[in-house]
Amino acid sequence: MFDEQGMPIKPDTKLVALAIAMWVATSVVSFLEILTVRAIVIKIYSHFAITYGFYDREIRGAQAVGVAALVIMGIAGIAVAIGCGEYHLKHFNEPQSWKLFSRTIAFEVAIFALASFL
Amino acid sequence: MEQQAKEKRGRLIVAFLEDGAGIILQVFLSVAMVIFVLHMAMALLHRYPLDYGESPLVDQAVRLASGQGIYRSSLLSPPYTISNYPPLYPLSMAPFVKLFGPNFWAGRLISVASTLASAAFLALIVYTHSQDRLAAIVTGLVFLSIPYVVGWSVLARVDMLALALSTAGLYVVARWPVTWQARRSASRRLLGLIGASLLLVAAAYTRQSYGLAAPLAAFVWLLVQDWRQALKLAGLVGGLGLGLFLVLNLVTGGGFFYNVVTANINEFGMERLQWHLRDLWQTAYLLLIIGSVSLFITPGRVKTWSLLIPYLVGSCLSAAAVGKIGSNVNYLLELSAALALAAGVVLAWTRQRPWLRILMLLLLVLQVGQLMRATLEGPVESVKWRLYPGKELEDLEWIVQTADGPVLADEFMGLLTLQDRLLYIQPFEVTQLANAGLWDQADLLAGIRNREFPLILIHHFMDWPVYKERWTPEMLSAIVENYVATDSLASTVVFRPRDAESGPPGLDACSGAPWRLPTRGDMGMWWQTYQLGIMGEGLEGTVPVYAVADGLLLRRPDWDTGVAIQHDDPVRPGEKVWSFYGDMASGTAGESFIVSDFPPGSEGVPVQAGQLLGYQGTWSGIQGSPIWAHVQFAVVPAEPDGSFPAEIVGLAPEDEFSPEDVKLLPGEDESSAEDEVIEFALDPSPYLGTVRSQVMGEPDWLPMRCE
Repeated sequence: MFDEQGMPIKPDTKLVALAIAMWVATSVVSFLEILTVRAIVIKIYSHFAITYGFYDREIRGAQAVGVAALVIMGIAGIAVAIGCGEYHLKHFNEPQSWKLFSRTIAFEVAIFALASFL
Repeated sequence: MEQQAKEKRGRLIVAFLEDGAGIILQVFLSVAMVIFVLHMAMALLHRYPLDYGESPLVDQAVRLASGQGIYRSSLLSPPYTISNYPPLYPLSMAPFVKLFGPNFWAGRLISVASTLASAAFLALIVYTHSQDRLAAIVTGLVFLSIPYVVGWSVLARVDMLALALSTAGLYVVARWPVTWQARRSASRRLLGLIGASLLLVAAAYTRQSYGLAAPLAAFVWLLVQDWRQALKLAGLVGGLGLGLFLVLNLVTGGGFFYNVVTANINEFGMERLQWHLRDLWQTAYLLLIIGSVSLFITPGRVKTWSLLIPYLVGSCLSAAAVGKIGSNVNYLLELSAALALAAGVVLAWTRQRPWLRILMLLLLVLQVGQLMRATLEGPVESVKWRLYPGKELEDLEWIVQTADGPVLADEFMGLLTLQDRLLYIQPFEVTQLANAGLWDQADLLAGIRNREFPLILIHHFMDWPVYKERWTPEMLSAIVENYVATDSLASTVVFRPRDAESGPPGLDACSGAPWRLPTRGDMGMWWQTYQLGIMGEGLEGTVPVYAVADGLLLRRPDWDTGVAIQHDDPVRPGEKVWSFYGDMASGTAGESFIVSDFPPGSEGVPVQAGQLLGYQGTWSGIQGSPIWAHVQFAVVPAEPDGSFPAEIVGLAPEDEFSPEDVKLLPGEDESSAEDEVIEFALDPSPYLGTVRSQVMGEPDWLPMRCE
């Protein structure tokens, strides 16, 4: 960002701290949520596929969907940490950056909330 | 300047919050859609019936495809079948049946497509008048999240097609004043009026109960805007509907009225209505609250109030019919659509009220979460258990395929349909007619007594004796007297004609056994943990329970539902053994059915073999949760001093079975699973001479029988 004379504007320290804190928090939570998503996926799987209990076939099935959830969430975690980090850096203190923060937080809240329902 | 910046920041934060709440709701709705799709995939291609009501409709489609009528004016001769609904749905299935042979997938596919169409029309109604995309999407997806909708969307039943047609009719009515009236095109308005009328009549000719809510909503909506159009619609819908009814009734010689009206007037029970309403409240209380609130806030504020309110009221009236015997949650589908519409309309109304919109979005998040949980615990579990006995269903199909002659069946009558055989009877429907005095069952009873049917299949549900609604007591009695149960597959008892060697029904004792039988077990046995549940045919408190042998009776002061008798052990000479009789109490009121001769605190009371101890009860261990009439019977080894073992006092039925509880008797072959016994109780089969159960923890629906 530059002022009218073309000199770079020094960003507000509080806002910088807030943005960094939010980026770190959303990134950490996105990795923590890998296990939450895995639990949700296995719970849904068990509702559809488990009848009398976790026997060999059922365990293998649950493990497979659990691993798939881990892989997908791992990629999502990296995307949140690196992709969103790049975006926030590029659009610091612009509405779209704060909007992305709000959406990331909303997604993460949604996942925790989902786990409590399923 | 600073004030402006503050206000701007405030607005931005509210916008982010609103956006965030919307995102959370969309994540929830997306997961709900995943559940919807998985459930659909699981159910759609299942070869066998998923519901009692599917088979008669496929049977009707088969008859229509082959040019036969489906509305007979009397049931004096077989087939004893009833077509409860108008013909549109079986007609829509008929081409598929003609092309691919009898099947369930075509009907289910029509239902799935209709469900999605209903969701789309509801969303379009909201979008047409609000231009609020989020509200429209939420309307459609909330509708698809409701467990009643999910469960019914995959059944080959009339309901979803009727709902799709009625919501399509509503959409046409809701849309045309907005667009065509603005263009002042009288011909297009008339076209819209005719189109809407045709759709509404088609809905009523798919399922008759759809002749109320949607036509009422369409009429009131038009009345508020242009009373002439409303009268035209009423004339068209009434005229078309009545005209078709007269034509069909005339063509079928009164059969249409008999099937669609007379045969549908089943007994109404307030208890049933209350149960379903309680379930609806528990499942969708926030939608009900939003729906109720919409009755007060929408008039004068939202244009669509005159469509929404009559639709809500009309669908509530239709839903009240869920109290009829044999009714199911399909009576709640139209109300589900109305509630989803109300949610969408209220959400659209909050568009200019950001805080209210955030609140509304979060409330819907909460509601969708509960709907998802209810879907997983309800329809998903239900379909999963339907699919579970796959191999047994194949065996049952083979048994039906090889039967020579007419087969009587209830839940799985569709096995006949799949074999391209027409149904001989729809037991529930004719039982209701017989109960109402509208059908004489004498000929059918004579057929059963003459053993004219090579097979009779009676299905059992663990949680409710539905078979009593499907077969009259006279039919059941004739079946038990003249047929013998030979197999139990997919919770269905296979009865074959009784021959001379089968012996008479109702054994008191097995020949050669040291003890007599404690009670009648004509509905089956149930090995549960270390006890044998013996289920008798009859209501609670009516099936007697007797002492199996001479002995001394014990009823401890805290035994509300059971007694025990000490005997000399006939299998292990020199030892003492106890026979235990539990669950002789009402599951609803907790009233004990133990005879008054043995009050709590009785000890050492001499009893003789065959002496009446009490009656089978429906006690499950939890008051208010009754199960089938039964007695829990156990053979318990005595303590060294001959007393009743202290550690199994109460024989709590809620005790979970654990593999650690299973011990082998000393000296027995450890590789043989059949020799496994529970450490607390002995296998009763050597004492009673009965067949040993092959399964542990599962009901065996075959009647108790001798080795």
